[in-house]
Amino acid sequence: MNELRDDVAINRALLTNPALDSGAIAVRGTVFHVFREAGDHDVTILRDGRVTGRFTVAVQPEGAVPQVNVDLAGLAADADRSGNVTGHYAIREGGVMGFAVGLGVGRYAVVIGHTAGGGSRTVLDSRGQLPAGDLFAVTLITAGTYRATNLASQALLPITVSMPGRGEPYSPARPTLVRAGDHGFDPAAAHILAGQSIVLLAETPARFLVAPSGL
Amino acid sequence: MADLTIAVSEAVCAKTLEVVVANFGLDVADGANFGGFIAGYDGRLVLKGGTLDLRDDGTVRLRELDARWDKLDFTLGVTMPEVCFGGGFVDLPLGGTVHLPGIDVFSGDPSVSVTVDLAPLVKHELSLVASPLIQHFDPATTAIGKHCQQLHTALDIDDTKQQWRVFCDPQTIDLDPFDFADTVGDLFEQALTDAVDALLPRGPLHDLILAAIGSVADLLRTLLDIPDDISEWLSDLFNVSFGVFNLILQFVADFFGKCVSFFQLDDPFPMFPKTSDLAEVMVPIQHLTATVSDVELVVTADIGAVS
Repeated sequence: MNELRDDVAINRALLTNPALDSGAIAVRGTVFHVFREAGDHDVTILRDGRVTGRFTVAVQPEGAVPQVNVDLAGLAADADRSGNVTGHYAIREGGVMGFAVGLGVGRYAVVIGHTAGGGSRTVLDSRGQLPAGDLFAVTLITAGTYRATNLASQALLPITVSMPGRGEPYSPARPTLVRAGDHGFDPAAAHILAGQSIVLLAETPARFLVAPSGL
Repeated sequence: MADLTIAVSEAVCAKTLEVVVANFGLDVADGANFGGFIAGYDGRLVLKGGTLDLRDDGTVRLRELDARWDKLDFTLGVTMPEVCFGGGFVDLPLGGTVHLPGIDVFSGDPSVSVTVDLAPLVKHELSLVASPLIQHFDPATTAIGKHCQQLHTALDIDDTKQQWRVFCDPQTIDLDPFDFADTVGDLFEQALTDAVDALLPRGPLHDLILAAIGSVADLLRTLLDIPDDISEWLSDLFNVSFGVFNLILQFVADFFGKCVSFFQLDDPFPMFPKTSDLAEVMVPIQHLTATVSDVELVVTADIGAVS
């Protein structure tokens, strides 16, 4: 009596629940870097150690947007054979660039160098530790218990993820901020609904790993 | 006094109606994008039954014709709205706000469509009151649509000859509009709900998507902009948005008033056929009139100069 036609692809990365590592950015994990100094910054995107994109961010004292989010998988697709990405990014001093992955199974890293005085100084290499002030956001889809670890301090944060109650108001766009400092995480535990995000703020240099408790 | 008078009984007219009705067929198909959804239909309308009355007010009345759909495939397609997890804004302790990008659940064209054959679920009743309309047909100058040509072939109406033709020109047409029962609305809503539900991945993500969008039924009502009654919405779609109702009315008017005549008279008329020793005698027909009484259709004419 009826016929079904669908032309849809499910974001398959949402069907799995691997650990999320700020050093290997994947779907459901986003690194936010805060640009504290004005001037040009060279951004290099790597996937499995191979350069997949390069571009420059001009950080301006004023007159630019406070935040830009980039999709690392999309950038890699748009880059030319030598990895250069056309397009110009400008961000206000103190502004944020978010590095996310929209689709796929790739794991990415970001290296940012501040070019000044004829040299370049690395201000972020996400494969190591995030500098103080940077953030790592994870979106947890599957209900259960998780553990966030700051590998730099071995501090632990238990996270409980619940399914939204039937008939109760539910918005996935309600992130929860957790600070990660010298004395561990604050608050010491977090509770969110499935599909929402935990945002870990590095108050000291940090490397974050968020995994289901069983892993 | 007329030179020629032909009386056609009500029974003969009724028999003609049977043949005409048997050859009625309206093929309709259309589709449109209504923004949040697409809809289309493909159907064939036929007539069955019916009675004919000749009336003493000079009109012909066709009653209780069943207008039924041989097929009425109705397709409805919806595009899923963007469903994403995460996202939102977070305020930083030292000032400033960070915007989290959401994660899209679907990529590509997340659409789903359902086709339901509504033919067994909808029927109309047709009645009309018509007046005899006389037209002179000249194959050299009178245009005939392709559909009418096919009908004429089926009805043995000769389009190669000049003729006087008597049509039943509808003055009023009474047709039931589309009026789907509640059960039809329920059936359709369930089919579409099942189709959308099947689009969603199984497992915990399925439940979470449902939590994010409310429910599939709520989502559909939003996408289709249906207030309460889906069967009423469906009826309006056919009657008003697609204008199928008016399309049928126009077709019926053209079918009876312009396409299929109830009576034809060759002009010139073969008064005496050709024999072995005499040529055929043809007489021109002039001043044709047609009147209706409650028992017969009377056609009168004058014979012009014999050539």
